[in-house]
Amino acid sequence: MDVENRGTHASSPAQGRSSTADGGDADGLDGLARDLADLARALQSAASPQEVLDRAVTTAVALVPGAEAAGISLVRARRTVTSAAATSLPARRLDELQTELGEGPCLDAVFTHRSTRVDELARETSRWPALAARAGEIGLPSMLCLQLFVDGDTLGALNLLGAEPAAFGDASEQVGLLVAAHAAVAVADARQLAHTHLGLAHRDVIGQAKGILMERHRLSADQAFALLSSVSQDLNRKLHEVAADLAATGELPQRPQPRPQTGPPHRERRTQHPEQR
Amino acid sequence: MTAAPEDPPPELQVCALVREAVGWDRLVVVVARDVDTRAALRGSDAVLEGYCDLQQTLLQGPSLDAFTWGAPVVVDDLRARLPWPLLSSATPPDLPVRSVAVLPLLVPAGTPTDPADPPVQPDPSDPPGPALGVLTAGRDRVDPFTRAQVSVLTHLAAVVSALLVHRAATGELVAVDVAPNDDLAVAAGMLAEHLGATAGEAKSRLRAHAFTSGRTLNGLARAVLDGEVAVGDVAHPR
Repeated sequence: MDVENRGTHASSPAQGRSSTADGGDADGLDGLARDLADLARALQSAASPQEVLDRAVTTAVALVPGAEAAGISLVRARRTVTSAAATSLPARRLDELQTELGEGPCLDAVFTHRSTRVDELARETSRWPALAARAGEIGLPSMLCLQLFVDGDTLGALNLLGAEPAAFGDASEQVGLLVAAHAAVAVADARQLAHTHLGLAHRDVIGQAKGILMERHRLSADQAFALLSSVSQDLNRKLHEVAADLAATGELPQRPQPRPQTGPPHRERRTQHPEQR
Repeated sequence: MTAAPEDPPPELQVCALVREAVGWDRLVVVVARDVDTRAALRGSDAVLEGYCDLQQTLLQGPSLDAFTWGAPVVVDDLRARLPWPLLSSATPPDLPVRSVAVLPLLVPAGTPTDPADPPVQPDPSDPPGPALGVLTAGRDRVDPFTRAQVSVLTHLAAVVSALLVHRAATGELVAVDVAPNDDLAVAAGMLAEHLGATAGEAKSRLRAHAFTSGRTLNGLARAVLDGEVAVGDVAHPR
C-alpha cells in the first residue's frame, strides 16, 4: 500500500521548505517564512470567506513542492464532498468522484489524520477500489490531503494533487501542514464572520419582505410577518429563504396547488417581472 | 454566558466590568454587516446610537472609519474641527457627548480550529480582517481618551467580538438582542414595492430624503412605519 497516514502535527518553519526531501538551507527557510507571513496577511485581509479559500488554494500550489493543483473540500455527514475552492478541474473532479463513489481519502483517512499521502491513486485498489479504478479521470496521480478542521461529521480538507506519482515528499508534507495551519485559522475566522453577518442579512431580508407585503396588501407588520410565516410553513422552507425570494423577484413563492384537470396553468402576476425592475 | 431577557446582553455586562477603569458616560455596541445592515445591541446608550445613525445617514464619521479601516478612532472633542465636514454641520448642537473612542470589533484572531492546537498569536503589523461592528465609548465632557485607555478598550473589544461570534453561531444574538430593530429594512421594502425598485435603490431614496428633511435614516424609517411620513412622499418628493 502506498498510502501513508501521518498523525503528525504541523512542523515548525525550521524544518522547512526545500525542493529536495530534507535539505532546507537558510535562504530557503527565510523565503518560506516570508511566504507564510505573506499568506497569513493575505488570508486575514480577504474580504469574504470565498476569497479566503481561493487565496489559500492558489498559495498552496505556489508553496508546496510537487503541487500541481489544489482544492479545498467540505465533507458533510461523511457522505457528500463539495469543492469550496479549486485551482483547476482535477481538484474538483476528485471531489465529484468521492461523492459519486462514496469512498476516498476525504471520507475516511482525513477525518482521523492530519495528513494523508497517496503516492499513486490508481494503485489504491484495496482501500478505495472504485476510486482507484477511475483515477485516470482526475488526471493527476498523486495526492497530499491535509485536514483543515473537523466538526462532528463535517470536515474541511486541503487537497494537493501532483503531476507525477509520488510527487510529494517529506518537505511537501511539512510545508503543506504549515500552509494548512494558516488556512485553517483563516477559514475558521471567515466562518465565524459569515455566521454573524448571515444573522443580520436574514433579519434585513425578512424586514424588506415584510415591507413589500405591507405596501402591496396594506397589511400591518404583524400581518405581513404572519403571511410570510404561513408560506414558509406551507412550503416547508426557511422564513429567510421565502423572504429572499420575495425581495429578489417581487413574487411570493407559490403554495402547492392541486393540479388542474384541463387547460394550461394560469398564474396572475401582481408585480413587474424582476428583469423589468 | 447567557443573559435573561431582562438583563443587558452579555457583551454589555462585560463592558460594565471595565467601565470604572476606563471611565465613560455612554457606550454603544453596534453589530454590522455593511453600512446599512447594522443594529445596536439592546441596552446600548440611545444618544450614542443616535449619533451612529447620523453617521450612517451621512456615510461619514468615526464609526464608519473604524469599521472600514479596522483601527481605533479617537475624537478628543466632537465640537472641534473634524475631518467629517458633513457630520460636523449636521451634529445637533445640544449633543451631550464630547469625547469618543471608537473600536472596531474584529473577528477574534488566533482562534484555534482544533482544541489541541495552540492559539496563534496575532502579529501587530498584520492588517486587520473584516469587522463585525464597532464599540463606541463616549464622555459628556472634553476628556480625551488616553493611549492606555484605548489599549484597554481594544482588549475589551476583542472580548466583545468573541462573545458576539459565539452567540451569532447559536442564533441567540440576532434572535434576542438585535431583532426588534428592522425599521429601515421594512421601510426600504415598502418603498421598493412602491417604486418597483430594488431595496438598495430604495435605501438610497430614503437616505436622500432623510438628509433633506433633517432626520436620520432610522428616524425616517420609523416615521414611515408610524405613518408620519407617507411612502409616496419619499418616493416622489415635492
